[in-house]
Amino acid sequence: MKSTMRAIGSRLLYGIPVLIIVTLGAAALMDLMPGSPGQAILGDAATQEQVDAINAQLGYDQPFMVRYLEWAGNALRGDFGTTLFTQEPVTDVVMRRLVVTAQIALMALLFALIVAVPFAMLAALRSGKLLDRTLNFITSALLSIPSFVNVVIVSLIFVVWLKWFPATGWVPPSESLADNLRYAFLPALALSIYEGAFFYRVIRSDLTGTLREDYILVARAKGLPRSYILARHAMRPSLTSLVTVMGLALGRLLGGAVIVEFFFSVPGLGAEAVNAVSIKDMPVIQAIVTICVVAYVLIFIVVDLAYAWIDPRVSVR
Amino acid sequence: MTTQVTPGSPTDGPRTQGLNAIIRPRRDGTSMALIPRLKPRRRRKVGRGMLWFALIWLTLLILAAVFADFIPGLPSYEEKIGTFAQPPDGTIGGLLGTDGVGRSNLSRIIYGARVSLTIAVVSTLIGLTIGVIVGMIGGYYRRGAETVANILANTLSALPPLLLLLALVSAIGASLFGITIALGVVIADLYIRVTKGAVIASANREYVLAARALGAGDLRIMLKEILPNLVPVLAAIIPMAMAIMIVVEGSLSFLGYGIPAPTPSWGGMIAAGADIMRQFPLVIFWPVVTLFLTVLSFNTVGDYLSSRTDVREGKL
Repeated sequence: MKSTMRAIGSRLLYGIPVLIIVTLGAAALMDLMPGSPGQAILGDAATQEQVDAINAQLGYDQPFMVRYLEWAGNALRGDFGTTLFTQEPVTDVVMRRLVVTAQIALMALLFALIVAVPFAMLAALRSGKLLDRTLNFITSALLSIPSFVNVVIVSLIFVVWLKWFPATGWVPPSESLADNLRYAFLPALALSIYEGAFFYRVIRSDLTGTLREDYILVARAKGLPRSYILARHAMRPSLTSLVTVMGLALGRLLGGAVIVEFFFSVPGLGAEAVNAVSIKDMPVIQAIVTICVVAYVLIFIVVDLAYAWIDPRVSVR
Repeated sequence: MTTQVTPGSPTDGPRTQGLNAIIRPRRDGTSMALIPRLKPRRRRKVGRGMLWFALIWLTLLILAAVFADFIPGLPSYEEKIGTFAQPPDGTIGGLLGTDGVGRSNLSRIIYGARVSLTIAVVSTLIGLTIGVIVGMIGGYYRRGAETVANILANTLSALPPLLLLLALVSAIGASLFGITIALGVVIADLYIRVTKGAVIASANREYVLAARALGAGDLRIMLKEILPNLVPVLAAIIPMAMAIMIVVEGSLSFLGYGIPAPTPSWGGMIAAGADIMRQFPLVIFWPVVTLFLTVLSFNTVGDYLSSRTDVREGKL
């Protein structure tokens, strides 16, 4: 237990320089962008004096490092400032959007697992046979479809042809859970296609390897049924790589669902990030960037711990 | 360990011969598939047909992009050759029909290939340069240098790539130049990781020790001894990275932050086609198929190269 705590601690410490570099880099990038926040708020018609006044009011006339340190100090206390245009607390805005993105990401992971695991088991059992080869071909094709093509195809099939789902939009679950699921289904489906194909590949190759082990031969020789061996003997050691790719996928889905959220008009974190970059909403960008890095570090701590839990031969250091 | 079973013995059921067991199908037709044959069957990861298809497609694409100006009868990508969303006809320009404004789809795809391929090649070179330099120093000197390389790579991968890209592009400018540089920076973490891993693996090999014993300096060892050994490793991931670059450039155009119009790009064509796909699905069909085949081809070539270079190294 003590070693586990130490393992968590060292990984958290390792995340700190990454967090500093990322937030500093984001601040510097925004600084390099042409135009100032005051200019963005007032538009092109404003005079230089008006722009300067707004900049001074918001504190953007300070030197770069002063502004960064002030932001970092506030952020440590959980205060991420207010948005540039609406002057809402950034924490509220970003949290509201994070919930939406997290819902879609978890649904996508669920869809991907439901499809990928059974097919991977079947293919591993019949490794090299027709089913295996067909699935191999299909997944490599699915992995070659970019997400912006994916959303178009999904929407063409389910919205234009079948008319099963609404084209774009979002209903929060607090309003109507059924409507919420109807609106969340297509974005999650579009996201799950790539992840599902990826999961399938990892589980299949891992399972095929495990099934070659001697202890599977022993179990088989004892006369255990195939389904029992597959579920109890073969699945568990193959879970480690699945946990890794799931962690990677979750990290990717939390910040990277930009295209899907943009296309289906889902008010998630990715869509907000694109919007914030285009209007140079510095506080929002910094908050999103911080969330992404913290999520990345936390996910990998959980993945490492899950490793040791699944496979007692692995010890976390 | 070894159970002797006389060949052709009258016993039914599976026969095992120690570790090299080959389990034959049982009489009733059910196969003992749970225990795959332990003798590895030599099987190529990529079929011959797929590989040839990929190479031919990429060659055609590159030739068309390079010699686009000399293809007889091909209209320029800005020229309106008819009404909007015309179905395909017999002329060269109208071979794939027209887009939402009446411009030739074929012409726009070919000129779009120019943009996509240029970006893929140049941004790969940029990412490769950053990645090899950082990864090599980190992997060779270890300690502090390795920590710095790790933090750099982790910083790049902790951020959602599209977000980082959007920020970089809006800082440098949404031009061919800006997008290429931004893409090169964003992909660099992949090359840093791969290079560092490969350098660490070969830094203590005998030929490196021999070179050092002969008095070679660090720089000479890195360039003459280690760098050539990186080539197969990097060659296997470059095609896949190029596919990623093409897709990401398309995503940028799709979001409206890509190469500015009227220069054609596949992502932009798909975004424009998506608006009218209810009435004219054919307009979006062509760029989607082109993009899909190109990405699939790059991935196939990458798969083939990595299956060829993935040799279990002898310990010597």
